[in-house]
Parts: sequence; C-alpha cells; structure tokens
Amino acid sequence: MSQQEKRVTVSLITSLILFVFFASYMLGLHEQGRLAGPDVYSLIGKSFFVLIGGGIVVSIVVQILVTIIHAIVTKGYEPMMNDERDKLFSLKCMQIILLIFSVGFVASMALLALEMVVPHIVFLLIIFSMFIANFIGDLVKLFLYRGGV
Amino acid sequence: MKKGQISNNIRRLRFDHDEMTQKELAEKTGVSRQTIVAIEKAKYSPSLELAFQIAYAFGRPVQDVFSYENFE
Repeated sequence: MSQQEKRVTVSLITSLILFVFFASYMLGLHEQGRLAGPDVYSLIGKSFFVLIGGGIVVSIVVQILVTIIHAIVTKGYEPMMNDERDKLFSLKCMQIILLIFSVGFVASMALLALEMVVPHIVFLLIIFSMFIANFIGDLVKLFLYRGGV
Repeated sequence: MKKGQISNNIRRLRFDHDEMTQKELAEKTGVSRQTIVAIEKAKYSPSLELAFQIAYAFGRPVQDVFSYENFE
C-alpha cells in the first residue's frame, strides 16, 4: 500500500468511525426525546462542532496507528509526497464530494419545502449527506489510486 | 476533444540507463514512484512539464520518450 492509499484509507476509517459515533449519539438524543425539545438547534450546532473536533482527534489517532502498523508490516519508510497526480485525484474527489453534498442539500430542502420532515431533521440530513459525500469521495479516490485514470 | 493515445518508452529507456529503477526516476523528476508506475503503464498521462522532466532525466528529447497516436 502506497503512502497515498494509506492516507485515503485513514480518511475512510475516520469517516466511518465518526459516522457511527454521530449516528448513535443522535439516536440516543432522539430516544431521550431531546430532539423534540426547545434547545434542539443549539444542540445540533454544538454536536456539529464537537464532531469537527472529534474528527481531527480521531484522524490523528488513526493516522498514527496506520503508520505504525504499516511500518511494522513493510519494514520500510516512504516519504510523504503530493505530486501532480495526487492533486488531480484530489480535485476529482472534491468534485464528487461537492456533487453528492449538493444533491443531499437540495433533497433536504425539497423535503422541507414539501413539509415531509421537521426542520431539525433537515439539519441532520445535511450533516449526513456531508458524511456520505466524504465517504464516497474517498472511495473514488482509492479506486483511482488502485486503477489509475 | 479528439481522443488519442499516449504511449511511452520509459521502461526501455530505464533499462538503457544502467537499469535505472522507478524510484530513482521518481527522485530525479520529483514525483512519487506510484506516479512513475502509472505513467509507465500508460494509466496516467503526465503534464507537459513532467513529460519534459522525464525526458531530461534520460537526456533525450521528449518525442523519444513519449509518442501520440490519433484515432482518426
């Protein structure tokens, strides 16, 4: 596994951990009935910022673990590099993330316009579409590194 | 844009240059070894600048390293 593939794998694992954590946390709040309370929007806002902070911590921890495991398994060190191919793949990945997130955002707004969901669910749908977009973007990036363009 | 195919002689040129490794060529051109592998397998078309750098690493003009075939 190359450095680039390792980086994408770290991002994928991080996204997955955060997604599971955030989903279970929100489910817990829902079961407690706190999502129906008056402070629901500030709760979602605070949770989002905790999520960002947690994301950075989880990313660093997973990166360290993967680097150690990789170094033990391969018994070698490969310098971190970001050349033109990496930039091209990052750009393609970013396009996909933006596209999927935009679709999620528009779909959330459509559900809101049609009054099919309550507003706080729309906020959650937007956050989840961000997760899914990031996850699919990383998968595509991994596919590009594995198969090339 | 019209479709064509870019092929290259990097593998042969590496062999002719004292069996230069992909890693050595990557270090000379300032890209990762994976990028050299992808270019060599024609899975990735390099930028004009990188194509010139690769040609420079072999001391050859760029047309000796890369060739273009137009499907028309």
